[in-house]
Amino acid sequence: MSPTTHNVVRPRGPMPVRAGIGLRAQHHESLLRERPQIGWLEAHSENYFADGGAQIDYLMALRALYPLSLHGVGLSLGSTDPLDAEHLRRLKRLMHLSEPGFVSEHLSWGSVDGEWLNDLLPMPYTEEALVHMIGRVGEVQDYLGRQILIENVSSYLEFSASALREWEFLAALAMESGCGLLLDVNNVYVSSRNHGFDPRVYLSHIPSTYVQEIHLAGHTVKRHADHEIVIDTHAAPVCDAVWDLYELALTHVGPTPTLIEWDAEIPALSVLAAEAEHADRHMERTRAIAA
Amino acid sequence: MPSLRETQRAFLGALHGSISAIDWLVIENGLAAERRIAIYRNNVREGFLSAMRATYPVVAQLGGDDWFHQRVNAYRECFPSRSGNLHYVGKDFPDFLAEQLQGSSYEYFADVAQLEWAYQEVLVAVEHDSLDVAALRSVAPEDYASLIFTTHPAARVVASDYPLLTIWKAHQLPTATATEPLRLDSGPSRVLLIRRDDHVEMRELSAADCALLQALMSGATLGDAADAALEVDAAADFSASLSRIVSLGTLVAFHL
Repeated sequence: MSPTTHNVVRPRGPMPVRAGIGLRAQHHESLLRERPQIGWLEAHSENYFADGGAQIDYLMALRALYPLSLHGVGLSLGSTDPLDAEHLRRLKRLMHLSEPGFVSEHLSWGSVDGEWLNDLLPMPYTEEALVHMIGRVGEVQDYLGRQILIENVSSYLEFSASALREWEFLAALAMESGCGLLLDVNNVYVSSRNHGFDPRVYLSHIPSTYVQEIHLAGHTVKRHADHEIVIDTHAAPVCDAVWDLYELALTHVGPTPTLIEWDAEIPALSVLAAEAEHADRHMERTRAIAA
Repeated sequence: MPSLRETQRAFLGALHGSISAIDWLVIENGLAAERRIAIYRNNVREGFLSAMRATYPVVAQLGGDDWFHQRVNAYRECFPSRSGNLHYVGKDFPDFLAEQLQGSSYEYFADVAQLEWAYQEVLVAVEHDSLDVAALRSVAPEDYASLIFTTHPAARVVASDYPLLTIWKAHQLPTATATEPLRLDSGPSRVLLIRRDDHVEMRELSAADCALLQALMSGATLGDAADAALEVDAAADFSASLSRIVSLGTLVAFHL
């Protein structure tokens, strides 16, 4: 698959092919007041699992103004423990309430033997793990009655048992389970720096037909005396190298709903809106080239 | 080749330091397995800590950063997260602190923690219609004593030997102002927390009102709840107490 043959604009259901921003409670009020011209919002599902109260009310008020995507961080899809039925029940309830354009989760695990680490831990890319993930994604999609998107995570270690490259694993997962892919360009960049692979090769191998959403975020480089490691902090603007990779991703998968994530040291809404506008301009450029 | 489950168990063990090395599991590629695991160990600790800080901001201020970090890390060892939702991890912290601080001059931190957990519960509890007062009035007087009430899902009562509400208010950022030093011996408090229009209202209850409401919350009949109120305050005006807790919206339904 060459990077240049898929630069066509495809309709993608109810989500606008524009940039959106991650929804944080700090911005509930200012979003309702200022109503910035951003394409859509993405909420962390677990932040709205409450039975009632202000957070849900804000979400529903904002849902009336913007298309919405639900992004989960706590399903622990790759875990070998059983899926958490209560978590799924709350997700389904929130899904029915808020009618999101996308529901997404991660290619990761976060719990074993009933203990939860509440982090996005990497998977070994083995045949066994692939079969396991296909089953789990299928279980979730059956329960929710809809397709979910699976996102590649940033990682700080690789397992020696891995027999597949991450993109091969994701491609097989999408093909076998029917899930879509959420391509996090920053995560590709972070992992490429940490493990020493070429992010361009990764991006050119991601099967473009499955990619329905893109994530962009900032990261933090930790420099030590003998090495450096890039941490996926979501606490900074998108860096130039990631914008360049985004450009490459767009030529490969075509203009795609793109999210600006900023989850720590959260800036003013206007800063996020400006980042989203920047992503929109990238997409316009890709459209112009394709036309 | 280790199975997926063996891999995940080994990862968890390495994270907790109960397995000394997992270099057999990990591609070291210039950075030792243990240092790679340490990145995750740090992320997990920080994620838990920031969830706890969001739940217990006043306890964190009272104890200071170092003390809070230490307590939270010790708490996490006893009560690791049991869910994919970090909002639940603080549930056992008030009891943990009560046990840890028993008899010390900081034992009131546990009561403050109880108040803060109640606050979190009230924030996210389910909505409920208000009491049908007309229907209540139509109950025959001889049936009053056997009435059982459903209390508001978004209402909690926290009672303490310490002036909880005063302490809590003095630590609300950013408006908190250093006024005169708090007097911990200024008497007990009984705080009602109830959500109205998405806002958590906190107010002091009298001993009798508190006893009445707590009894009703635990499912007692109105007759038994009245006895509970009189037990804490023999001079209490029971019908005035009932009318106050009704007007505060704490009762939402009843049955005989």
